[in-house]
Amino acid sequence: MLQITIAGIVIAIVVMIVRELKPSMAVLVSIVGCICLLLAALPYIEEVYSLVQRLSEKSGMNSELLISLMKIAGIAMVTEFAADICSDAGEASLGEKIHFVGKIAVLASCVPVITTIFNIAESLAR
Amino acid sequence: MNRVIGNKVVVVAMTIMFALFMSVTVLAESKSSGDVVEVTEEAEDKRDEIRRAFEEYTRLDSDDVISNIATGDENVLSEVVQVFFGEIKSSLDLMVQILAIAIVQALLSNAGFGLKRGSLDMASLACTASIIAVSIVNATDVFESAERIIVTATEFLHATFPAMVTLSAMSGGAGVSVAVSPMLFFVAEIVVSVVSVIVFPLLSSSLAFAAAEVFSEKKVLKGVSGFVRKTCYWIIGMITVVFTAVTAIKGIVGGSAGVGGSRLLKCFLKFIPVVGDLVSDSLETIVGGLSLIRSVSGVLVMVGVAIIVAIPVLKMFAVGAVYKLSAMLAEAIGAEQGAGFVREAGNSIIAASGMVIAVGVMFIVVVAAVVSVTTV
Repeated sequence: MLQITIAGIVIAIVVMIVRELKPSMAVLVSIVGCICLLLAALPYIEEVYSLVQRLSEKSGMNSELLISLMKIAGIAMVTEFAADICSDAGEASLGEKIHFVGKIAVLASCVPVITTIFNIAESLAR
Repeated sequence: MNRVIGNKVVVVAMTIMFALFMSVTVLAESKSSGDVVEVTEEAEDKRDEIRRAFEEYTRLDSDDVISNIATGDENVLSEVVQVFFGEIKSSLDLMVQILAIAIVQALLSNAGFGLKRGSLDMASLACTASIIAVSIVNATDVFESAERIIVTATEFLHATFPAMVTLSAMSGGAGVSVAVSPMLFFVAEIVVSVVSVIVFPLLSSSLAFAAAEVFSEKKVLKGVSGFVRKTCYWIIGMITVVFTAVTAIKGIVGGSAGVGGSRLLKCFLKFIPVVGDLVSDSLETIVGGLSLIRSVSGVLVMVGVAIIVAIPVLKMFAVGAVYKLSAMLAEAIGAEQGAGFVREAGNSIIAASGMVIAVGVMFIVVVAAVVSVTTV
């Protein structure tokens, strides 16, 4: 975690210097830095994922439901990340579009969850 | 006012008269030793009928149960604790499932720094929906098992009630058995119908309202689930009041009819020349023996109802406790919306177990009313 913190500070300083020297490259450096930080955070997310997977295996949870939830979580996080980068680069409109596409993707991934709820509602109605 | 009191007096008088004639008819037949043997054999047949029904519905040996009650089995409490914690252990899977989803939701909430962000918010809603889906399935299973318990207890009572009434009539309480006990039984049947047709569907709908509360931001829906659950409490409260009133009427009418009938019969027999005293004394012995059989059978039926109701109710309490615990942990992790629903589901399960207890207690009171016919 300390490494990520230091890397974040270093990236910020580099972006500041690059912005002084060549402003058009500063955004690019910022994006690369953000992607590097996201990649550094991946092992932590993987750890959480394996914990959730272990818990679901032990409790006999519907694996389809868990997979779709993790997929939804992944799509939502990547969408947010990309939209934030676009906003930082001064492309707020593009960021909004990414948000929109992300929402549609999340909704599409929700199909197993929605199906499960409809099945339950159907069984309750009987 | 006077007319109402007059009507009540007429009803009580008619009941007493009815009790007297029934008692005379039944007990006067037991004059000869052959008839005594016949009556005792019939009583034993009825007792065996009750024992068979007990063993069929509870899957326990009636002799063991009776001897355990007589000797005061000390292991009952430890067995109850074992059943409770065993059920909690088997319900832990549900808690783990809820927590697994809550962790994913917490990850999403923290990724958005607590702000409402489009896709993260949608993903968080999907997690809440999953928590609801997982917990509602188990909750509806619990409601179904609660309904099954009530049906089983009713069937058990149906199987044993005719034998109980016959035993009661044979041991001198014909008036009470024929007139009052069926009335109590009828009220208990109405209670079962109300609980199955109105209360349990209302409890199920309270879960639907709780789910709607989670997804809706409208204030109108807030607290509807709690209101529906409270309505169930009111219904069961009103039913209990009606049942208590009927039991009180039984106490007034049945008690006087039983005592009056039995004592008048004894006096009547004493007027018979030469053998009157002897017959009166032997009547006391016969009725005493029959009362013993009736009491033991009654206790067996009461224990049967208690066993049919108690163990599943204990399991329901355990599931309710697991729901409450899951809600607490999910809230601590960061899945507030899902936790709210799980808490509501836990409350509904505990309410359902309360309904089952109420029905069980009413059944036990009905049996006690049949058993508690006054002896000679």
